[in-house]
Amino acid sequence: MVRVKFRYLLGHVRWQTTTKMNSLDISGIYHYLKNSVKLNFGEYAICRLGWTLNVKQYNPLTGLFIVRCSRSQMRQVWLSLTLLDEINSQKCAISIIHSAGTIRSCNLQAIKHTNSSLLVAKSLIQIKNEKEKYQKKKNKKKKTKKKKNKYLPNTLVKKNKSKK
Amino acid sequence: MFIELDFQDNGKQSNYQAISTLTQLGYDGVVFSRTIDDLITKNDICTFKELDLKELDQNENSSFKNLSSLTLMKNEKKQFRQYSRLNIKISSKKNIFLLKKMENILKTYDIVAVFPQSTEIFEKCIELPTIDIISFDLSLKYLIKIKYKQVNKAIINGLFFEIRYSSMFKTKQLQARKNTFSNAINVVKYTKGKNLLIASGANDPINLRGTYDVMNMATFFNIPFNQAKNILTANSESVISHGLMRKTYFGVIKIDDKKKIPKELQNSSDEDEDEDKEEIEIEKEEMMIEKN
Repeated sequence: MVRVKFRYLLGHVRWQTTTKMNSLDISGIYHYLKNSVKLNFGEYAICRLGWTLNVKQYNPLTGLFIVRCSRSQMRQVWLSLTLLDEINSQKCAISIIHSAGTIRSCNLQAIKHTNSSLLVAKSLIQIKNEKEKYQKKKNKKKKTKKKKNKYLPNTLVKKNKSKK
Repeated sequence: MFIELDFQDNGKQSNYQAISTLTQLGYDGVVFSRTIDDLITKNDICTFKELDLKELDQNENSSFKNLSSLTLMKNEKKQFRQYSRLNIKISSKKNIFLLKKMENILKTYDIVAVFPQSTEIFEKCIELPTIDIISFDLSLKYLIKIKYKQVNKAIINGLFFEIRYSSMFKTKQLQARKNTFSNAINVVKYTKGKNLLIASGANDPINLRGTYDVMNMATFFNIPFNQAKNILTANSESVISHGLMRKTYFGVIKIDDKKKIPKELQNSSDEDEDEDKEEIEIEKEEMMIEKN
């Protein structure tokens, strides 16, 4: 029968400075999103969206969030997210990774996105460990050799006398 | 193959940060640019050097290291391409002859772009053979008057038109955002989507946006869905090949450094000589067998 259909957008926030924004909440993102839709598309667009606009999940560590909107207004919400500049007087940039009809497929894509960044961290740690091993091997082999004086004959060079 | 067509060149460290964000966003190449007003002199030769990405990623003690660098993620065979570009702003009629005279200096850059400030200059820039792109300053209130006949002439000659979206991200100047929208729709109306390019003339890597975000933005400029992806992938590669043709005497001869040739092919002449020697030896043996 006639069903209301939604679209779920997976987004990623990155900041200009690396200070952690622990004070940001789900309600904060909803507030700034609504203002940008009002700025760019007017009050008629907000009335068409109505109750379907909602922020479902937000992770402050990785910066991923999921937004719900009705199917006909997906592109307008998408544009208003890309044109979002400032949150809490700090500059930011939003890029959208995936759009789907259910939350479950968005979560699966979020797992893939974090796996790729974990691989980089793994490879960097591997390189670091290999370098430390190589340097340890080098330091072991270095031994100071006793230099022989060329102009002295061999008889005058001291020899280790074994004690009998 | 998505290529970012305009990013300002501000030194090694900022370039490396830009590359690290672009690999995150899904791009495969960058063009670093430099701006000039009116006069072209001998000092404007290209001094751009490509960054060696493998060394910068693995160097621990260097100050370039950035944990968000995802250049290691891509395959080792796929390389991140880097090119150079010149932007020239022309505001007086007398300086157009320099674009023809200073050919040898313009040939050191991969792409050359022109920003005409009046309609008379726009008419004369169409027939120049030393140019790749014509682009406009979209944040102004009144754009240049464009005509259908002149645009069609430029498309026959092989020139491209450009839209830049970085002027939309100035929050305190809302008028700039309104002007870019209206002017971009005007440009699309006269070109009908042919030979169009979309780029960001950004200073900071924060003003960069992902590939699918730009494609969504293009639909609001009245570009149809089918052409939106072609504009980012196929047209951006054709501009670079157009630049190569301009550099190399219409594609007949190309001069390269020896370092760019891979090591396997540098000594290829020795292998051919060895093969010929083997054939001659086999023939001698056969002759000896026949005699006997």
